[in-house]
Amino acid sequence: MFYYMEVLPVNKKKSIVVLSVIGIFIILMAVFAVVSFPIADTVYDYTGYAKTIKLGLDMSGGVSAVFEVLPDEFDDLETRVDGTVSSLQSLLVSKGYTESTVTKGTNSNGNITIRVEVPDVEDPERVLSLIGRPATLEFKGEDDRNAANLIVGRDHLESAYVTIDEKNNYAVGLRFNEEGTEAFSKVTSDYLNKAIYIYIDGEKYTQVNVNSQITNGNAIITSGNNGYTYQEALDFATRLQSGTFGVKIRQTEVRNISATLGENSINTALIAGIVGVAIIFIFLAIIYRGLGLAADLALCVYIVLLLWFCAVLPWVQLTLPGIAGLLLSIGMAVDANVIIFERIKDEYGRSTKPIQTAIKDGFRRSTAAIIDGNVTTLIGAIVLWILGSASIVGFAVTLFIGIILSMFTSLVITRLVLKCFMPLNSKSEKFYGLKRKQEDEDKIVAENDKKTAPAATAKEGV
Amino acid sequence: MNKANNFRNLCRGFSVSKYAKIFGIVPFVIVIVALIVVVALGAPTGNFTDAVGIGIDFEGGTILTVTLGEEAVNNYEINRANITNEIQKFGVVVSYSQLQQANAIEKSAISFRYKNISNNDVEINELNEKIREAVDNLYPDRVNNVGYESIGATAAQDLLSKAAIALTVSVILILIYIIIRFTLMSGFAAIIALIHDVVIMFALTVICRVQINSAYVAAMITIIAYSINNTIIIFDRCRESLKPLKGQKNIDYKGIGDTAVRSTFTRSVYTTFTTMVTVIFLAILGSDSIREFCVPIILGLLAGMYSSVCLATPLWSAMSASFDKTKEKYFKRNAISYEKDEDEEQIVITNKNTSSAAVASMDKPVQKQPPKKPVYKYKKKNTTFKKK
Repeated sequence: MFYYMEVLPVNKKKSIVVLSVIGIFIILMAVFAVVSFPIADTVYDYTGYAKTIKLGLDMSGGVSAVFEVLPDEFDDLETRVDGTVSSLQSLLVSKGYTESTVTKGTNSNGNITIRVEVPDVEDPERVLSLIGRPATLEFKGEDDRNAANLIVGRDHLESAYVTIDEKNNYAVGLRFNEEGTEAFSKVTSDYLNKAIYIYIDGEKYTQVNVNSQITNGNAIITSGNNGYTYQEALDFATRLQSGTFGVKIRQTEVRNISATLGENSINTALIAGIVGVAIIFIFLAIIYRGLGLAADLALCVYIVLLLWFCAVLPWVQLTLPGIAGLLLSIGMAVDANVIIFERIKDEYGRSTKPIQTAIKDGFRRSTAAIIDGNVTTLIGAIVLWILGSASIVGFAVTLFIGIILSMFTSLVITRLVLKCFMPLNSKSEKFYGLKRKQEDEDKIVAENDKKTAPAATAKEGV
Repeated sequence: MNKANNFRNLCRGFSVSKYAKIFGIVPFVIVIVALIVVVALGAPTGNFTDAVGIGIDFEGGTILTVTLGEEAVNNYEINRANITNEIQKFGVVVSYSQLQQANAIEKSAISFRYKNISNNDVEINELNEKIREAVDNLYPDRVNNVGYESIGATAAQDLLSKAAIALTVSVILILIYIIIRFTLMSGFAAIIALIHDVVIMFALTVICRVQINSAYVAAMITIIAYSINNTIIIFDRCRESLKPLKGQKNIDYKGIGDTAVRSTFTRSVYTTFTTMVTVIFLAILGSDSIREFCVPIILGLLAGMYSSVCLATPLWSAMSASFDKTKEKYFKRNAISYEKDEDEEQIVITNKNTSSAAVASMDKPVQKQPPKKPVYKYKKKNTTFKKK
């Protein structure tokens, strides 16, 4: 499995090079996590990736917008409000705000309200650009606001999104529901090579030409030869998307909200994390000495990679439990190392093997346990990822990354570091904290031998 | 080094299977305490969901907004504490409170969310009106600055059912995986330990009076996942000891289980320590609401270690032994090429002092042992799970 490492030619020089590379990697990743600077010759700034990790409502607050549902002439308003709430929720989730909440409520006037809270956003306008300004959306056959509706957004359209056409230009994709697919198929055959007009809130928004009949309910709207810019396509899609809501709503208030756990919660979590991790590092170095140092290096790699993944993956929005999960996962990453080191101690103590062989055997014999243990956890994480609801998905992803990284760092990085230690110091029992078990250490021998005893007895029995 | 060895020597003679029955009682005690808490809190009001502590995320409630302008921003903590205190005089518990800043500073407000204590709309409105008045009286120089709004559940309605489905599916998949990689009985023992974890986690939640919200559910799932991981590490040792014994009869599962627990005990303790230390600091440094969240996690980690060390392993040895017996009986009854063995007795390892000389390490060939030495003792009483 890790064959490539066996062939790595190891001598003093190479060891120092590899160790330095790992060291420099950790330092660079750590520096890039926190520093921010303008990138030369561009208008962009680089922001430390750790600062771009998205936080949930409880840790960082965000923006809250309240919409009032306007009464209309149709019945079953409640059902349509519920539908709107869930489509708003999935819209926000699809844009990566897995921890945002959409709540139905009633205000003191007795009107139904929809409260949208989006975490980790500072500009209230951003909420509106995310969900659009909910409106009625109609497709008409003539350039006249009183003409008959061919397609009605809330009845027929399921979603609108930004996509890419065959010429690799940005375009707007439309997906219709079952009823809409049928209606749109009829419209596109009736109006083939003619224009249809898109009205939003009774105002003409744009007109599009029908180029072919679309029967599968998936259409794309392209713009001329050059296509839309990304921003244009996004605006268009958002406008269309906001026309799919089942009710008319009016925005009543938009406010910035503070973290529900208090302003300092994120600092508290940071300090707790740093102190806890420092204690783990010292603990490992004291208990396992040289082996512990190797684990500390691997753990540094683990932490910077974990932070980086949390920053770049779109589903991750850290809430208090998410942060607790990360802290726990650091503890678990240590676990694999402890399992390996206990094995190495065992291998070395029970035999006359040199340290190098004991380390190799220790890794070999603990790999199965580590992989089995992590795969069971991984199964849980994947099932949650697939079957869990939106807010749990972010958590499942964090767990998933944590497990994969923990296996990688313990089985690959720790081993690599130890392999590099070998040419530098391969004989010092003191450095590796290893000790041969003496024959007269009766108790310990007995304890170790107990394991093999059942084997012997059963053989005799037969 | 010496310390570690002394520590190991301390647990050297420890046998988990010996105390299996006592270990089995503890979870029941916890569950009973949780039930008492639920009944004690739920019976007077007749509202048992309150006692379980289903959070505002799932049930909805009321959001009270107090507009204080600059005062809200400048003296946030003081005002928040005062108003929370006032609201809680009415018997409701404030779940969240936060600062709301509008573009215009005079519109800045503090909002409070609390669960309604009844299901009757009229009662809710009456209570909210009373709370509104009381809070309004705190700020006599401001007019009409308190408003309330009832809100629905913020958590997706299907969160709990989806979590339950996900849990069931993962239990089945994990079971299949363990059966393939280990033995049938390892699978069942691990799953029973997992179910124990779920139940205990829920009981701890009730006892610690934590409000269950969507995120909390996720945190609990992690702890359960780590507990399964712990169990697997111990079972791996059992699997290793069992390897040379494949196909044998009367395997001393208890001995194997005890050895596995002993040889992984250092690791179990270290790992529980390293996972707990960061959360403990979070609890020490954090605010009250963070502490409320951390305590059940710390207890959950302990419960997870407990279930893998003290429950899963004895269960595994007991179940494996009785499973082997049943299999044997089945073969006997159906006479499928079964030959009675002369040596049918349960093999028990005797005390280390007598065996240490005789028991060979892996390197020495087994045949060279002096056969006279009393290596194994016959103990009829130790045959596990006899049919009554």
